[in-house]
Amino acid sequence: MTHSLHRAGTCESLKNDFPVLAMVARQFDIVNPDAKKRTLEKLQAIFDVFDQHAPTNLGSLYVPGTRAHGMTDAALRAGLKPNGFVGAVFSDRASLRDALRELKERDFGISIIVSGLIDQVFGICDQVGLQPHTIDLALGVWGNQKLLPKAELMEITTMCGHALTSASLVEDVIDRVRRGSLTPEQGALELAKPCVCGIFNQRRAAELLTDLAK
Amino acid sequence: MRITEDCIGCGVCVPYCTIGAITLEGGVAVSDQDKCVECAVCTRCVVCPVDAMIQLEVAELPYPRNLRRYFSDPIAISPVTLAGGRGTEEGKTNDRTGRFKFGEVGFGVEMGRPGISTSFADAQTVAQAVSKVGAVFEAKNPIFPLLSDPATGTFKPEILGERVLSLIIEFTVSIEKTPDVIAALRSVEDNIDTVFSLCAITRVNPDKTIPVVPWLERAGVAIRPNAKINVGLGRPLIP
Ligand code: SF4
Ligand code: SF4
Repeated sequence: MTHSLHRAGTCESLKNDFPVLAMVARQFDIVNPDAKKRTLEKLQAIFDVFDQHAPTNLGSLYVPGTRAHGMTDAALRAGLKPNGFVGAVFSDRASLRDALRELKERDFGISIIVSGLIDQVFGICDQVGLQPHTIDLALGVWGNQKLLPKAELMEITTMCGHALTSASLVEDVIDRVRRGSLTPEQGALELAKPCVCGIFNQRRAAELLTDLAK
Repeated sequence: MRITEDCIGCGVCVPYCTIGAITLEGGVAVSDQDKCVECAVCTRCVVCPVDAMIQLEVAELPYPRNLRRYFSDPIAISPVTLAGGRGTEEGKTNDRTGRFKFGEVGFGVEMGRPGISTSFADAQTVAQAVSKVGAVFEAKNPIFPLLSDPATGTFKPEILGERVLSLIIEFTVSIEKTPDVIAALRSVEDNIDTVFSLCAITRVNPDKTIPVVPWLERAGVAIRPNAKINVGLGRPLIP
């Protein structure tokens, strides 16, 4: 329920990181073949809107691959299913604002969920004329904190909300960047590999890797 | 995931494992079957030079081990929700479904996250604690049919030893119960051998204040500056 929430990091590190989901409501959107057809058309149109506003990553849980994996946008779009969602990450406020403005104008009626710094997302909603409806607040990590990896590694691992990118892989990639066998950008794509739904922000990962490899 | 005797010990797969279950021993890789949560990250991301990694699917794994597979790999389809992922639509479609109303808070206790994994025994410790303060568990969540007694947060005994990358205990309470939920969660923090990521879902007031915030602040809970926000583009819109 929370895979695009719980990203770790400071406000500075999170200020250009906006995972966005378009999510179907199963009780309305896939109840019969006609509804499924309409829903799929809407998801495809939303995918195109995201795509036109320069997202850093793009994907959908039911397509085996994301833009970060080198999947073409056409292949991703062709694989969309009516019972799924479209996931994207934007790395700047203007792109997110423009995408939301277009979604508002076209009024698809599918729920859109934006993660990011609360003040920034509310500010963008104001600019576009949207009233935030529901919020999912992150209240941190509880329990046996000694089990956690270092905070700087979690800034990267938590970008895969399903926790598929391990801290050991981040350490391994940092080492490869240090040794010069990977650039930070190549390293970021390696770290995006485990993420299956397209909300890993490989641009932010490359910036963090550059610092961590110093 | 199991590693066959063909392994040549190249070590490429080791760092990809989500929870450190793969180690090199005596020149070959071994996957600890107790730790392994069957997430399939290793087989999806690594091209083993000798094809020594074998990942079975949900239907191929015996119960209850197959629970590991569909809770840990978001692509694996849950037989309960008939969807991938570990949770439900929760607040994501609340502008259309109205699941969370003003005056209510939905809590999501994601056991094992980030990246530590959890046993169902630890999940039961938390579920039982919150059930005592009135938590009613979400029936659409894939953990629900695994509860032998949903009223007390008790899981079926045969699954308590199974481990998954994470699972989400989802429940809704009236906003006044927020301090009780927080106290219940604090009471079990030291009794579990894992972590959990906590979230709270509420409607946003027309003036953009967030009704649960004062309750959380009074309970001494630190609220992260980043959140997940349903921006109200669903139609028809629940006002
Ligand atoms: S990638 Fe294959 S050969 Fe290399 S250590 Fe892993 S299982 Fe063994
Ligand atoms: S299936 Fe997942 S937990 Fe098991 S060895 Fe592979 S990466 Fe590790």
